[in-house]
Amino acid sequence: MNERDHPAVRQEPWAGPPIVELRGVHLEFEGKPILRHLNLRVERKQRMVIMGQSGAGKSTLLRLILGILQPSAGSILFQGRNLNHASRREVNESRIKMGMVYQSSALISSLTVRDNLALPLEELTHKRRAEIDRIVEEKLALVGMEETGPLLPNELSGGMRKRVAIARALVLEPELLLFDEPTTGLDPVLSSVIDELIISLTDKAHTTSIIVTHELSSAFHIATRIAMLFQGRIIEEDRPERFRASHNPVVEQFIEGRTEGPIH
Amino acid sequence: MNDLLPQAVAEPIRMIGGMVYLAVDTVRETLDHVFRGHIPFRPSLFFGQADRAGVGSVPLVALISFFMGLTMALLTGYQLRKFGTQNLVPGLVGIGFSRELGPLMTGIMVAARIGAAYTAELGTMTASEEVEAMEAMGIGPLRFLVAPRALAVFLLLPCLSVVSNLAALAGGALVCQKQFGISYLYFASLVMENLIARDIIAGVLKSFLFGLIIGLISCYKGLTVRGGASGVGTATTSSVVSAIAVVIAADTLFNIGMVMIYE
Ligand SMILES: Nc1ncnc2c1ncn2[C@@H]1O[C@H](COP(=O)(O)OP(=O)(O)O)[C@@H](O)[C@H]1O
Ligand SMILES: [Mg+2]
Repeated sequence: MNERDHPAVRQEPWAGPPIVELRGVHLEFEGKPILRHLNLRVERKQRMVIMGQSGAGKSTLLRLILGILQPSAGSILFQGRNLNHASRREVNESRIKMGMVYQSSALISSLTVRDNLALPLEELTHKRRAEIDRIVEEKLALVGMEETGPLLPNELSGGMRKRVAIARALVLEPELLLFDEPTTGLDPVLSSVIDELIISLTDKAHTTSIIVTHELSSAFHIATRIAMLFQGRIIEEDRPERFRASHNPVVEQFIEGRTEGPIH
Repeated sequence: MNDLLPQAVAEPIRMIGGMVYLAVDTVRETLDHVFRGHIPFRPSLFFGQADRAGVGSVPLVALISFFMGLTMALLTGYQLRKFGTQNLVPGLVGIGFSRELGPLMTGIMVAARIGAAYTAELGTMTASEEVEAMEAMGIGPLRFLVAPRALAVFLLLPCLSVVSNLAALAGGALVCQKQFGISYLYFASLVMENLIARDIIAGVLKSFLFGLIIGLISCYKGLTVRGGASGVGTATTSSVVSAIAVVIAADTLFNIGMVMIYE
C-alpha cells in the first residue's frame, strides 16, 4: 500500500510522506538483538542527528536505510516505498537518491579523487564527459578540495578524505544524505568546517540529512531533530532544545557524560 | 548446521552454496543494469582484466609447459626406445597435453597467479568498506568488480591452455629431434595423426570449466573477507588452495565422465 494514495493516513498533508520511516524494525546478528522493534520518522528537510553509545547499532541503522542489510521484522520506507519488498532495481533506484558518507570515507583506493567522483556519474547516468567533468569540479569546489583531483585517496589526510567523500555523496544530487560519524577523529576546526558544510547542504539544496554522531556540541549545532538510540530502540526523539531538557535518565547521563546511570 | 555436520563437510558446502549464489547474483545484477539502459560494464574494465589475466600469464604458462613437454618426451622416449617405439612420443605429448596436462597445469598456474590477485584485491576493498560503498551508491559491485574479472578468466583460460599445448609440443619436438632422431616435420605429422577432435574439445571444455571455478572461488573468497589485513592474507591462501583442489577434483570427475561416455 502506498501512503500517497491515502491522504487521510498522512499526518502532515502539506509535507507529503516522511522521506524515511522505520516501522517496528527488528534486527539480530547471530541471535543477538541489535535493534528491537525500532520506530523512527524522518521528515523532509530535517537534519536528524542520531546519538548512542558505540555498538548501539547506529551504523547498522544506516545500512538498513540503504538496503544493505535486511531487517528480520518490520519495514523500512523510503519516500513511502517499502524497501524490503522492493526488487533489486527499485532498491538501486532508491540508493541513487541517497548519498552515504562512511566513517572510513570508503573512497575507491585505486582511483584518483576525480575518478572517484566521476564513477557514479559514469556508471549510473548518461551524462557526457564534459558535463561529468563540470559536476566533479563543482562538487570538489563545494568542499574546498579542487586541488586534490589528480591525487589518490591514500595521498590525502583523513580530513581531506572525508571532504572528498562528502563531495562524492553529492554528485548525483541526492535527496537524502547519510553521515556516519562525520567528525569523529577530526580536529575541532575541521569538525566545524564539516558541520557548517552539512548545514549549508541541507539549507541550500533542500536535502534531508541523517547524521550519526557522538559529539554533543556538533549534534546540538547541526540538528533540527535529535534521536537517542539505546538498547535497540529510539528512546527519545525531539527538537534539540527539548532534547537537552529531557528528563530521560539515559539522555541525561549521555549529555552530562556521567559514569553512573543506566548506560554502562 | 555446525552442530550437525563436522566443519570439514560444512565449510565446502557453504562455499559451494555461496559460489552458486554469487554467480546467479552477478548475472542478475548485470542484467538489471542492462534493463536500466546501460551497457553491462565498460569494455575497458574487461580488457584491463583480460590483459592482466591472459596476456600477462603467457610467459609463465609457456615457460613451464615447455619444460614439462620437454621432460615428458625425455622420460617416455628413453623407455619407449628400448622397444623401438619412440615414434609414439609425439602422440603421447600431444594427447597428454591437449586433454589433460594443458588445461590442468594452466588452471593451477592461473589459480596461483590470478586467483590470488583477485582475492587480495577484492578482499582489501571489502575490508575497507569500498565494496559496500559501491553497493550503497547503486553501482552494483558484483557487476562492476566480479563480472569483468570472472569473465576474463573464463574466456582466457582456454586460450592459455592452447599456449600451454603449443609450448609443450615445442619442448617435446626439441627433445625428439635431438635425442630420438624425429625431425620437426615428422613430429608434427605424428602429432596430427594421433590427435583426435574429441581430445581437443575435451581440453577446451575443461579449460572453460576451470576458468569458471577459479573466477568464482577467487571473487567469492575476496568478497567474504573478514578481519582486516590478516583476513585478506588468510583468504588469499585459502582461495589458491581451494581453487587448485577444486580444479583437480573437477578434472578427475570430468575424466571419469569422459571414460564412462566413450570407452
Ligand atoms: N556484520 C555484522 N555481524 C555481526 N555483528 C555485527 C555486524 N555488524 C555489526 N554488528 C554488531 O552490531 C552492533 C552494532 O554495531 P554498529 O551498528 O556498528 O554500532 P555503532 O555504529 O552504533 O557503533 C555491535 O555490537 C556489532 O558488534
Ligand atoms: Mg558505527
